[in-house]
Amino acid sequence: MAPNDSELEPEILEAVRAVRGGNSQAYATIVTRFQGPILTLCAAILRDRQAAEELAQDVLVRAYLRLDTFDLRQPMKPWLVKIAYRLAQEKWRTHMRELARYKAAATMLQQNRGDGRPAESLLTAERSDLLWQAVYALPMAERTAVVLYYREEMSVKEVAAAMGISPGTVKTHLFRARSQIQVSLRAKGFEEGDIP
Amino acid sequence: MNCAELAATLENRLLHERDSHWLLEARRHAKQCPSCARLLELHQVEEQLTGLCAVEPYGTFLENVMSRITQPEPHLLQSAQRFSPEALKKPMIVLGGLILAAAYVVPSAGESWLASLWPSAGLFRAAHLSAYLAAHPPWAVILAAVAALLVVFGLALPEGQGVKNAARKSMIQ
Repeated sequence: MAPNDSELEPEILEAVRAVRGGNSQAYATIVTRFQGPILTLCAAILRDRQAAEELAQDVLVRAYLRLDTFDLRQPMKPWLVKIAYRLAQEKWRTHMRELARYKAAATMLQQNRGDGRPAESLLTAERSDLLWQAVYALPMAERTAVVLYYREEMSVKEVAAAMGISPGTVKTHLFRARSQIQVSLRAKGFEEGDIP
Repeated sequence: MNCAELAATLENRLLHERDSHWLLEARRHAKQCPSCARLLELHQVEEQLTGLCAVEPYGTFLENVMSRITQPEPHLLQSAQRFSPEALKKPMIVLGGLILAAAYVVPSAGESWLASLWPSAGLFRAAHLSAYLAAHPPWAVILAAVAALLVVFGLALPEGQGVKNAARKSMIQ
């Protein structure tokens, strides 16, 4: 696993200082840098493209309001992910129901397939579709751990801190998720030769 | 290739970084070894997961966020208002002033629980705090002290700039 950014990137550091100094427009740098990871996480948790977009905006606005509490010595992504996970949990409990997960995932995939514009396409390849479907079928905590660990390349410790659980529990989530995805992909006809 | 070689190599590098010859040998071995087949398949899953594509935001995403942070929403302002001490300035001065004013005005009306709050001219001259405290009930002295503190702290607080400005200030600091 590639290590995450252990210190704040210079342009992000500069942007944070500028925002704290009163230049709110400098926050655009932070939004541009982290909108992708935050939106991906929100989409993985909510399994709804539109809701994820709204939630990701909420997360970045909340982060802006709390920017004075951010420790400049720490990387920013885990801090944002922590905010995102908490807000997503609230949203999930309020608006989503576990029973509707397959339907929501199917709708989401269908919507994104139907839109030809690359910037708005969630999943373009069939292989990615199948993989995302397998991820969506996981329980919320497991798919969150999978996205943060594999997609966002965060360490087990960072994932644990963001989710408010122990590293051991994260490992358990990842183990179960891998096993479940393995079964799902096998059922969907993934073969050994599909390795990139 | 044997089980130990396969496991050791898998631990070190991702599958796509290996050459095709190694992969061919690994698959050949996995066909004869169920445990290594499971291990190889698990690594394939991990390999796939690291390649999960990101969700790209709509084109207006950045614009929407920037619009929201420059025009804070009411529910976001509430928290900023809650923690703004400037909002307490006027209420503190008014409350303290009312108590002290009542303590001054009421004695002229005659009997009242506040009638004995203010020291007499004789006590001022004597300047004996112990005599004053002995002559007045403790709760009245405490009430007067609290009222005075309210006024003093209220005056010491910085001038309020309105809820919206206070919220913006707290956001950018």
